[in-house]
Amino acid sequence: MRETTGKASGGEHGRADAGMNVKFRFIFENYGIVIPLVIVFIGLSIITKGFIDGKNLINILRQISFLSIVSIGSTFVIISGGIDLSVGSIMGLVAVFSTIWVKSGGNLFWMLVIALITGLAVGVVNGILIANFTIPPFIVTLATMIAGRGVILLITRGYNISGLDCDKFLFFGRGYIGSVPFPVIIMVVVYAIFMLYMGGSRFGRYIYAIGNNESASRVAGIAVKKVKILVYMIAGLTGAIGSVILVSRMNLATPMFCSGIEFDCITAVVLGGTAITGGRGKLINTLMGATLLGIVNNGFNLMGISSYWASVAKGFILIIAIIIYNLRVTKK
Amino acid sequence: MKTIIKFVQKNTLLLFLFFLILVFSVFSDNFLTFYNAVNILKRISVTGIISLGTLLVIISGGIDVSVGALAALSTIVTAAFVNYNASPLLLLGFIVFVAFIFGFFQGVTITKGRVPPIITTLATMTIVRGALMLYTKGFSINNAPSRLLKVVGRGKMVGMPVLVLIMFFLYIISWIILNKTKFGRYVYAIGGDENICRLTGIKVDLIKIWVYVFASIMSFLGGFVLNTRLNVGQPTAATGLELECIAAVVLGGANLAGGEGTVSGTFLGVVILGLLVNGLNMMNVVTYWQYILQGCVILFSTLIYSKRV
Repeated sequence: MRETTGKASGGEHGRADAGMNVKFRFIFENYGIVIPLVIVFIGLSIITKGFIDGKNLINILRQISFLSIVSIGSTFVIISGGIDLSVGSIMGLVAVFSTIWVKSGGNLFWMLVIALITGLAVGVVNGILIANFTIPPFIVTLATMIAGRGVILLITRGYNISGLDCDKFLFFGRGYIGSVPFPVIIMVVVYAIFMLYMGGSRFGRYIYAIGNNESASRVAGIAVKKVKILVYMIAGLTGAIGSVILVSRMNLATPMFCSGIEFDCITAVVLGGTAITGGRGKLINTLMGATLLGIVNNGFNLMGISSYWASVAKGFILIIAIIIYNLRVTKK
Repeated sequence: MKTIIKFVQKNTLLLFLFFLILVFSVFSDNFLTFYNAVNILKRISVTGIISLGTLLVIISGGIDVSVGALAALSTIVTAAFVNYNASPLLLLGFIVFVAFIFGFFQGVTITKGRVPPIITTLATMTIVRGALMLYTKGFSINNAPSRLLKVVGRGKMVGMPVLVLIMFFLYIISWIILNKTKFGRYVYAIGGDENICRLTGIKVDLIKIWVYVFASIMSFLGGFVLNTRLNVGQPTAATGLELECIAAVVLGGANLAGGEGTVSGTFLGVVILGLLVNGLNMMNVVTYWQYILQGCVILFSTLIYSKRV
């Protein structure tokens, strides 16, 4: 593997000005996303009419909430040194199951249970194949993605599932508490839980350890396999939560539901400053990354730019973000 | 008994192919005919060509999911050239040139920019697909009737469709590149252990860039062939093809971690996958099972080949 990330690149030892460099790099890495974020925000509010508008800002918040929740899982997976391409298919499965359940008059509580279990189940499958069978995460999640999409297509037979007339169900994606959209509240709660628990717990540190050096972690006695399986389960879980929110907001489940969302998740994580090679990164950064993406998407929408331009832009943003990160890390 | 087991282990793929042919010829009277064989070869020609590019990338330890998008771009470019009645030589030259540019940029981003191959090629795919939709506004571009298409798309030479001959030709060239040139051996070496290669003085970055250029050229050529088969340029063409090629290459024995894989194995993988899809279609199985099949093939092959090592 490359030795250009982390301390192995030898940039932080034995140099007179090492202290200053380290501090600057630390700030830049962890909070570097804030500057582009602010710039883009200010820029868009100048260029676009209707950007700085109460309604629009709340809209943006709602958009962000969905992607940022799903990206929590991807953050953990990437920090642990892996990758998850199956998020979209997991979300599609959850969407299809939820809508079918609600449409046939099912209880809302059990719908949530089904949704979460689906996410966890696929996560477990991913985790076991990756941890116990040692198949590279890329292959496993690729296969899960393809197979999952196949199952979705089989169940839906290519048709949309719509017309769920259940107000309580719609509350997930469309409801408000006070003037705050419900999805935003879910986002805050979920982030708070994960940040508090993961940041201060042994489990959280294990994830970083595995991402930095897996063999050393194993030798040190960390239950690498269990941690990895849990990480992919979290990815499935957050995907399920996000999916319920989105399905409820759209009131519709399509066969290609969330196809390609994994790309957005990876972009949000990487934009936030998490290394794609793993071992470092913070959840709050992913939130900022998702915010940046959400603002860009919203701005493009308001300016009437086709969403295909957004695709093109996102592709470039992802590559440039990683290149900039690599430049930062190896600037000695 | 031991020799039999050894024989089976060594030639699993070939035996599985014979098994499939046997099963299908039992179920269908028309299966074991020259005509049907040629048909199948025609149908797998596009995947076959593009899989060559995927093979080289995977042997070098990387991955390329942009092949489908590049092939679609190629179908549009071909359609545009045909509609302007340009000479086929100019068309091919332009295709190779554009392919070179795409491959070069991907290669440089991966080697000098140190962006992981999965991200680079994923980003390229997103960008190209988005750009194609913007350019075509979602519409396909029909080809004007032209001699080129009649010759390549429908034409035959020495009894074989030209498409299939092109595929065979490219396979022979790839085999020569991988097995008879220094470049080929370097590709295997890099896939095996990249760091050692660097220490030995092999120009790893340069070779990797050429690998992605090669994959890009194969994608564009595959798209060219696809256009002549369908007689249309589509922005949505070859969607999902990248995964099919990966499945074929892995089925053929390539190690996704790099360092292993053969041209003949890839050919068998492509044929077997093509047969499976063909068989499923004949049995009227819903198309969506194909997705599930591809996913399982990738997992299954990886498991089998890893146990062997």
